[in-house]
Amino acid sequence: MAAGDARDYVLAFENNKAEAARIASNTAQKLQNDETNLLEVVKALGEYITDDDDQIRTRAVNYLTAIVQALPPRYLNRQQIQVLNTFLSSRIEDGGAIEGLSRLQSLDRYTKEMAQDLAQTIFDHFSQDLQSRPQAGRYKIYTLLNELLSNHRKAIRDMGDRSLVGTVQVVAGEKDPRNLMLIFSMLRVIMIEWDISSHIDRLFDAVYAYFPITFRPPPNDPYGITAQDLKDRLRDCLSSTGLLAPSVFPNLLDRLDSSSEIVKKDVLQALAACALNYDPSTVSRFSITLWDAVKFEVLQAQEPFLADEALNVIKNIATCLSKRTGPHAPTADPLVQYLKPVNKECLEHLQEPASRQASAAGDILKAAASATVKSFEVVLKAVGPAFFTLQQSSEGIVNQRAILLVVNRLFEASIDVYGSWTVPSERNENGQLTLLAEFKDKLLAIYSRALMSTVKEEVSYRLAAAKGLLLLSQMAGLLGEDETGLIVQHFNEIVLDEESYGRDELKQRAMHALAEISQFKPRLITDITFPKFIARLPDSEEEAIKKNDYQSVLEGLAEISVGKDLLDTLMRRLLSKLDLLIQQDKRKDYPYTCAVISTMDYVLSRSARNSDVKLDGYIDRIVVNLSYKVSTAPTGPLINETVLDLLGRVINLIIRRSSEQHKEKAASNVYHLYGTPVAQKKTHPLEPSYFMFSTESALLLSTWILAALPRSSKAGILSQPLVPLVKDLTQIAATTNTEFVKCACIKQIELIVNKHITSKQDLDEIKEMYETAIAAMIFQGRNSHSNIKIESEVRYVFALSKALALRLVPGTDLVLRRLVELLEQLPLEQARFSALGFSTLLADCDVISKQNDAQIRLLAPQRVFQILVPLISSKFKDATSNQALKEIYLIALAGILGTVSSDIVMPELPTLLPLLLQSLEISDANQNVKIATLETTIVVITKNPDALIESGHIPALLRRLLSVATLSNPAKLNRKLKIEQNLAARSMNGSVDSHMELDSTHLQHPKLSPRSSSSPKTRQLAVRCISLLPEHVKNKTPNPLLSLKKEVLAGLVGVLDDPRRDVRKEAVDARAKWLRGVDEVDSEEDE
Amino acid sequence: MDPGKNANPLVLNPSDLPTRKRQESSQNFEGKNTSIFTFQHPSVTSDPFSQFQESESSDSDAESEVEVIDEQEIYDLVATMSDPEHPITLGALAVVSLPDISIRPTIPNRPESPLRTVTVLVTPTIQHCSLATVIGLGVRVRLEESLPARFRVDVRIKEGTHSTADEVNKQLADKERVAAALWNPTLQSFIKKMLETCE
Repeated sequence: MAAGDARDYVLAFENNKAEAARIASNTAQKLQNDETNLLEVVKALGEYITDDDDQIRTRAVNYLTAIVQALPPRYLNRQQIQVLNTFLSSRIEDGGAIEGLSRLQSLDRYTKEMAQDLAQTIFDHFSQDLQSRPQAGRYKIYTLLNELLSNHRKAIRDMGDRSLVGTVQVVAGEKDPRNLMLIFSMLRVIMIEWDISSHIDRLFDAVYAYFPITFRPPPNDPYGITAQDLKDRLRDCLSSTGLLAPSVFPNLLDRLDSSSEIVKKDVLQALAACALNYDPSTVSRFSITLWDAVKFEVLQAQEPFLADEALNVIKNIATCLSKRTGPHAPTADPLVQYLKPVNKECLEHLQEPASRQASAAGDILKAAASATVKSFEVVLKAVGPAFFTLQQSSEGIVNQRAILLVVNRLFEASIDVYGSWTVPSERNENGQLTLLAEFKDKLLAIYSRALMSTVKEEVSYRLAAAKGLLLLSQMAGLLGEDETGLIVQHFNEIVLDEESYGRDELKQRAMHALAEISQFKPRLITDITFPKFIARLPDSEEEAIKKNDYQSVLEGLAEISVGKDLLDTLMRRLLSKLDLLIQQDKRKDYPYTCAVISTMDYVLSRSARNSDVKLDGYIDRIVVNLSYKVSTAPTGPLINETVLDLLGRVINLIIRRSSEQHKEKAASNVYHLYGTPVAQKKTHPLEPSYFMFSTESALLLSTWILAALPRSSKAGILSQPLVPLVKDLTQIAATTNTEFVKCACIKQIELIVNKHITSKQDLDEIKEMYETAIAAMIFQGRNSHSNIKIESEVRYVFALSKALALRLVPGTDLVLRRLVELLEQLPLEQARFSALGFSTLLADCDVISKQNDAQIRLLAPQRVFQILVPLISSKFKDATSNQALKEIYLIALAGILGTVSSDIVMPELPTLLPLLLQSLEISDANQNVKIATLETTIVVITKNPDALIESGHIPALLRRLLSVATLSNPAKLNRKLKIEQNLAARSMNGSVDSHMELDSTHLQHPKLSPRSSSSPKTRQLAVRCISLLPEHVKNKTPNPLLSLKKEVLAGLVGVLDDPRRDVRKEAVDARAKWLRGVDEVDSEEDE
Repeated sequence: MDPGKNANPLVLNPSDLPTRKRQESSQNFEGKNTSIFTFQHPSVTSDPFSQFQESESSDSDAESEVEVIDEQEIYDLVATMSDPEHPITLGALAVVSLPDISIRPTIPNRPESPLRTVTVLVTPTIQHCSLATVIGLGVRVRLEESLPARFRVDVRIKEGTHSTADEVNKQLADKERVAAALWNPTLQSFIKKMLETCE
């Protein structure tokens, strides 16, 4: 029976792997059921296992392996494992023996002796010619060895030199990255756990042979091993034991002379790892040698990233040497010995403080000092006193500044090592006070003088001082309240009292410093800064005009009021200011009042970013109180649209972040504005019972309150029939004379239709109203003067369609289709105006937003886009000769393109590209269309250049872009100048052909000669498109830009003389990119 | 170490380099650019219907404002180039500085002609800087490709700052030699490296 199975398996193996596997597991099953025993199974294999034919033997071994793999882990007893182990070991080169052995060694009953036997077998068989086998075979062997090392490490370690030498021999000469990953980790285990003292060279050679790794993974590498993976493992090997140091350090230092930056980086990283992991006594022997070699990478830095790596080495040596706390005399301490030349050399460089090497010396001191508390103390004791001498003897602000900058580096190191008020350091377990405390008074005096007694032109000097003072104040436990208070006063003075200078960098730095300090010393800020700042705020708009610095004061207040207490204080102060401000008389505008409300909005929104924060506390003071004031105000700021809009935002935010109860109350007060219903006063002829405030403008506030109500709310105004409410609002919108009231009503309609109308019946009624409105517009358009204003109607239909489309009601496509059809049915002027509305459909809106619980379906933008764009582009094609109508469609298209994300646009690109090109050609000065088109073009170029290349439109696109970018103003640039420019362009390009080519293009595209209609923004964007092309269209053979290079470069020369600086700058960049970014693939040959 | 190389030059801080003040720029209505945060604009002003009508007029108004090419603009073009031997900009090394840049009409007795000559005086970091010619050449290349054709570019070593200034100036002024030099692959790569950091 067993013999039969063996035969079947051997026969089936060739053609039917699945059948073979089934036979093997069948046999395993039989073994478990005691229907047969292992002896019989092996016996049955007899004739095959001794066959001369390799293949037959392989199959027989595979059969055995398959059975072993199919048996449950605890089935085999120790003796059986022993037999199988010996048997498979003797057949290790045949077929699946390795897999079988791998299974065996994972069993619990596998013994130490078996593991050692197996390891020895591997060493005997594979130390000579392993590299002649295929990669996959080698990988199996390494895997088995690795498993032995991890499962039976003690057994293998007990083999001592045999396993060490054996392993090194087996892995010698390996080159495959997957195998190397295994090998590096095995060798690391050996280096750490074996006694390697007599084999150091052997192990060093085995790993160092791979340094530096120059592996580059093939494209689409399925194994995903990167050069970095290999580098990391190799570095772990090299840094595993200090015994390697005598070989590793000299060899690595030799490599530091390499001309390749990548090799240098690898060397420095390896040195850093070794310095950190080797034992201190070893590192101590090499510390000075290392310093002497590595310092050049900082002092003569070619590349900043190499300097950073080198600094890391310097720091790690100090970290390692700090570990040693032996009974040394202070002078014999290895850390002191290491840092002595470091400090000495740095001080030498610092004698010329403004030089580049002095700044590098500062970096070095910081690196060394920030390693440990001990290293900080050694460094500071050595260089601290010297700084004060240097500071006194150096002349000139440039030198003084350089000294401060270096000292600032030490301050940073102190914070790293000893910790700050907010972040304690783990390197300072005992919570020691920084050693800088010794010099505290002197430092404060020098820095304060530098900051406050220097002329304002010395910006960078004062910036350095400001930074240093902030750092000092941050150090845990260093400064007392009064000392920090003094620093706060300095910063106050800079922000509030100093005149503006240059880019006001110092004011910004001081402001940020105050914000920082507010995080660990909030009381100082409340006591010192707050009153000062508040006192600066004017009490009226007139005063604000005179003082004109309220903006920065408010910004400052907002910036420092981060904690809850500070926030509450600020809000209280601002509200009392606002109480004064809203009593002002009527003016044209109220910029200061707006700024105060904006500040409230800003700080409340910032604290509301934390989703737990509730704002119930502000309901009475702001929502109820101010709303009521708005409802009764006859004139002044509270009927100003900007003030009301900002106030509405604040109120909206507070209601959204308050309890259900407050929200319900708000629902009843949308049109009451918390006034008493008794005091009714009719303001509107059509007014139903719910409006009751003195002026229409209060409706603006109603919009924001309505927006804050959740969709589920059924209270107050929302408990009434909503369709009549919509009709009322429509009426008000149609009859009011005030633009913003009209907008507010239409927004409210949008809100109600989108959020609160639920029944199908109501929705149908709304859709009917929509159809009626459109029909009325068309009728009116046919029967009256074409220049009649239809603004309300347009806003209304777009608001309705937006509200419906965002929630994707059934029939959304019909609703949108009506809008597109409307364009051809209206007189041209009206159609042009209507086309603008398409940009509102998907535009982000603060009222109809997710935050306000509007119904915006996830797929809405995509659906709307997919419905509208094919419609518009087919209409565009139909309007063959009607240029004006075509342009109207392009306006509509631009509106949509500007408001959807590029992922949605990309699939439609083939349809869109021709339209985009046409829209660049529109002769009329409609800049918004061009801007939207150019912005889309930028997205296409950056996100999907391939589509552009495949379309073959690049030459056409570039020519149009050039013509949009070029400003031709006959008054400024006369013809003669033009000719001169062309001549010069030719001489610059060293070619006469460019002129010819330029001419021929002009002939081909007579309509594309430069025109003057582009606005600066348009021109700038057009040039940006041109400049983006080279970096996104590259690595293509042939490069489609190459044939256009001369034409583009010559064309851009014209833009270099643009009257606007920003456009010129863009053209300069574009030319630089085309000159050096567009090349033949193999330019060598061409030259 | 190469004797013609200054391994340890003085470096200026970017905050101290001359910049165009924001206020002078045409974007005056945006105010000073010191805001830590920007206030939200009320929704009314972002209305597409009204914005459209406004923007047409304001844009063409702004068009009438002409910003001429001045010394600061020339400075901005060359100051961000980097030194061939340090990863530091020419501005920070004070190799180029604002007072050493001038723009004059090319034909002095006909100032109404649009032709202009830009003169840039280069100050090498040390007297015997071996790369002075390369720096001068780089500045020249940068200006020639960045300025309109009506500008003549004149790059020279500042008097008294270099031991072989005359020799270098001769070379920089000689069109033929400049053109020939630019074919040299080593020089090309030097100049390419210098131009990489241009902002």
